[in-house]
Amino acid sequence: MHETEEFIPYIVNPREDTGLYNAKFGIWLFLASEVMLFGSLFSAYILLRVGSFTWPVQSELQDIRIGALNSVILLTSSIFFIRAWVALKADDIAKYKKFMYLVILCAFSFLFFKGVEYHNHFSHGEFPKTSVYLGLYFLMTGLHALHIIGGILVNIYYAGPGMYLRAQNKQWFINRVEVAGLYWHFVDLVWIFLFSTLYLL
Amino acid sequence: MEEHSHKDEFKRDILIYCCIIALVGVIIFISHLHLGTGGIFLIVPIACVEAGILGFYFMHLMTKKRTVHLLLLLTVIVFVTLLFWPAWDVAYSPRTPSEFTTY
Amino acid sequence: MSSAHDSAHHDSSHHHTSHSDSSHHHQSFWSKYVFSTDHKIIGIQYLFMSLFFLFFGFCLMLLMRWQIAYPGHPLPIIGKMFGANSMPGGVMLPEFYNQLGAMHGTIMVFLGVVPLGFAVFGNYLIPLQIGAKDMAFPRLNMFSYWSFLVGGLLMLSSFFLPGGPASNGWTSYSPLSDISHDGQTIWLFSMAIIIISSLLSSLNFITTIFNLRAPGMTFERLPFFIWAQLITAFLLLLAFPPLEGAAFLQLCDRLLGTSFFLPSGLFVNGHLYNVSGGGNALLWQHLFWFLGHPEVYVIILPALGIVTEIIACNTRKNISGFSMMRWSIIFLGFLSFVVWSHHTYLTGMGTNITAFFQTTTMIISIPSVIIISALFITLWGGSIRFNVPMLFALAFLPMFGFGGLTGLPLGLAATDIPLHDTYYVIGHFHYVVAPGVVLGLFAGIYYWFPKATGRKMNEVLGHLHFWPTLITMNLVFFPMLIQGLMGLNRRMYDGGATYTFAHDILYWNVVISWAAWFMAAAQLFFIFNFFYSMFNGEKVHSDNPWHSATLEWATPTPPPHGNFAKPITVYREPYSYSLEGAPKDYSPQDQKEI
Repeated sequence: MHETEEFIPYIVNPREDTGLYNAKFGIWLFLASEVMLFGSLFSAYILLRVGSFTWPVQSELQDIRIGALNSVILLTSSIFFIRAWVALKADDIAKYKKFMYLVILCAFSFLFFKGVEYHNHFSHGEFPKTSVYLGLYFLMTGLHALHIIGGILVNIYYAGPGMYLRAQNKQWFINRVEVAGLYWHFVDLVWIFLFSTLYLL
Repeated sequence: MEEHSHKDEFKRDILIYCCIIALVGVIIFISHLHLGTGGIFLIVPIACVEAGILGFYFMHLMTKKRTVHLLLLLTVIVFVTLLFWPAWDVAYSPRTPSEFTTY
Repeated sequence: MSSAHDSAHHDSSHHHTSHSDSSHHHQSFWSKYVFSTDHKIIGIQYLFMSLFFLFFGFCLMLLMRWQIAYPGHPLPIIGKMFGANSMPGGVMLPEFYNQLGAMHGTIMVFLGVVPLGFAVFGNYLIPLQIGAKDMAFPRLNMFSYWSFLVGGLLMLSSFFLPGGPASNGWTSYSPLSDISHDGQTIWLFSMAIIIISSLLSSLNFITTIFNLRAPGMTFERLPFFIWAQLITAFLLLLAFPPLEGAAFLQLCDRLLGTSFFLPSGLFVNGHLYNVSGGGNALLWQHLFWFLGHPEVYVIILPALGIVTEIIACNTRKNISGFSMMRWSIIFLGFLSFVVWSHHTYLTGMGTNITAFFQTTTMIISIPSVIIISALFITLWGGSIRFNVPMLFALAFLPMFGFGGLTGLPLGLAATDIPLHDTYYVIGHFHYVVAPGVVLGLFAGIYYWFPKATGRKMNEVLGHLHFWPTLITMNLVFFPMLIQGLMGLNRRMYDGGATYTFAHDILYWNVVISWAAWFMAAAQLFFIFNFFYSMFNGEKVHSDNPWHSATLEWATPTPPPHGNFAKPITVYREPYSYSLEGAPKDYSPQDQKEI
């Protein structure tokens, strides 16, 4: 394989002056671009809402209980991810897997409740095209849900089939999981803003 | 990088977690007060605090070197630019009421 | 320390020769040349792809120029090949003209010039110039290329839709873009894929430049080319996502019936459009130009980097004001995010916000002027070698400078009022891109061709390419400035023939078109030279035929997988030419003695 530590440095160990190994640097850059992506949608929200005469009362259209529950679920999954990573660093693979499964379970529950919400909307005749607010709601939470699904796939891989990578290079695998964790925390972070903006404002 | 024992860290993480959950509760409560536009100036900053706590502790931002901090600062500045021009534009454009979009 | 560990490890276990690295198993043709993770192969893949798209977009323009010069006349010989939907009887339909215009812009910008400047030169040269063996994420790099190709092919496929490709300009303004035919949907999907590919490339480049520099390669010792690529990568990283967001919003409008960009009370074909309304057409413009303006700096900066390398090497001098240039380019990158609304002056913005953007737009001209001036000043007292790359690089300076100056009346809101959406705008931006950036990119191809192939491109053919191209480019774009000043609108399918006020300047359309067709003929010399020299060009007998001091010339020719024959340490600044007491007039960066 071309990507070995002899060929490309700083895959496993961080470089002194930047303090980062390559993948961590890369993921922070990626997250910066994601900030801009969701940022543009938030920007659209602000413009459209500020520029409108009337805007629906968001808390009446949304079920805040489910939103709050989803917030708790995602935050809990973040804690589980950290526990998983700590266990991995301590070589406790059983614990690592257990916590990763919990993360994945939380993620699926999040999607489940999201599905419940969407279903409730559709059965009330509330579709993306019904209003600008609902269009933004579906697009922003939908895009977020796609990011959750991406995270689920990565997490399943690293908790299951991808474990062979750990046998190849232990520290590199720990780095990979850390990077996946950063992405996961970010997805959680975006949800905090989505919930605050789309449900509570 | 963390040299703390696992137990201390676990307690600290749980504490952070509870803080964030509590803040979520706070903004839900504020939302129920239906403060209208004023609510934004409470809810959004508190959401930022939640995000900041999550970033600093869960994403270990505080242990990152200058590189990441600078990158994030740059991103935040660009992001804020993107976010606040619409408000400014709408506030300062000459528009008659009929040109406002309606829901 | 990892690097010391690396070198110790290497000396004992690996032999670095021109042949493939002994630790890697023998690769099949497919994994070595097609699904390659080597940055050089990927760079060359991007090269062929972007040169093809550049040529394709160029041909679209040649077709348009017939209609502009001779509106309503059937195009001889090839006109009938386009079918009744586009050119019945060889006469171009207005709809087809619009499609050509939209696709010309889109393909040239997103699939031609930007990948050529950023992905081609960046991929090939960044690891070489910083002393690294490859990019930080080689497999991601491969994915970037293939997804880019998929996006590009998807964009091309829209030509085969029944309704044809997108026809709403490369800017795809709403509300028209929300309701137009399917070609626009394909445009949006292609753009989304291309954007993701670019984002991944950007983070690869930035991580590589920060983390994979050879020992001794401090930021001050990085060549300006790397600085330019670094800033370009940041611009792409942070500015492209809003266009992705906007593309999602427009896709929802088109496919899900939302109204993000559709205001209430919109009438389409005489009927009230059946959507919720409540959207804002200007939202699209702002989101688009939030990318659109940094995008033009993405176009410009790589060419600035290339030209700087060539000028330093061919004047045998250090670049004057090198540190000023570095600070300028950082400042430029930063400012490019806060000027975008000079593209929307005429949308009814308030005077306060207009004043803000006008001020930032005026300020952003300063770093560009500093950079161009530094390059001009470098020529003073230099020992100039007038080879073909240098000719192109030298031509870049006044052409780009002039093009930039023509932008000033557009940047000032008051003078923009009569000039907006006229041929003046087309003349301005093409001046900076065509006689500007593209000449710089050609310079780069001629300059680094010997490193990549071991052969030089033919000098005579180079001159036959250069001089007619330079002259015809000016003949094409200068009259556009005149036409614009006299009020001729852009994007008119007949070139203004139906407007009586335009009658006096219509003859320029014929001049421009013929100059464009001659320009096309001149490119044939390049195309022939490029392919011919790959196999039959004069071989170079040195790894460093231009006697350059930067690191990419310290490799075997062509560079093998892993690039350098031995680990690199950097000892000095990049443009160490004509140093006092040095035995030669250049002192390579990796050579310990002066």
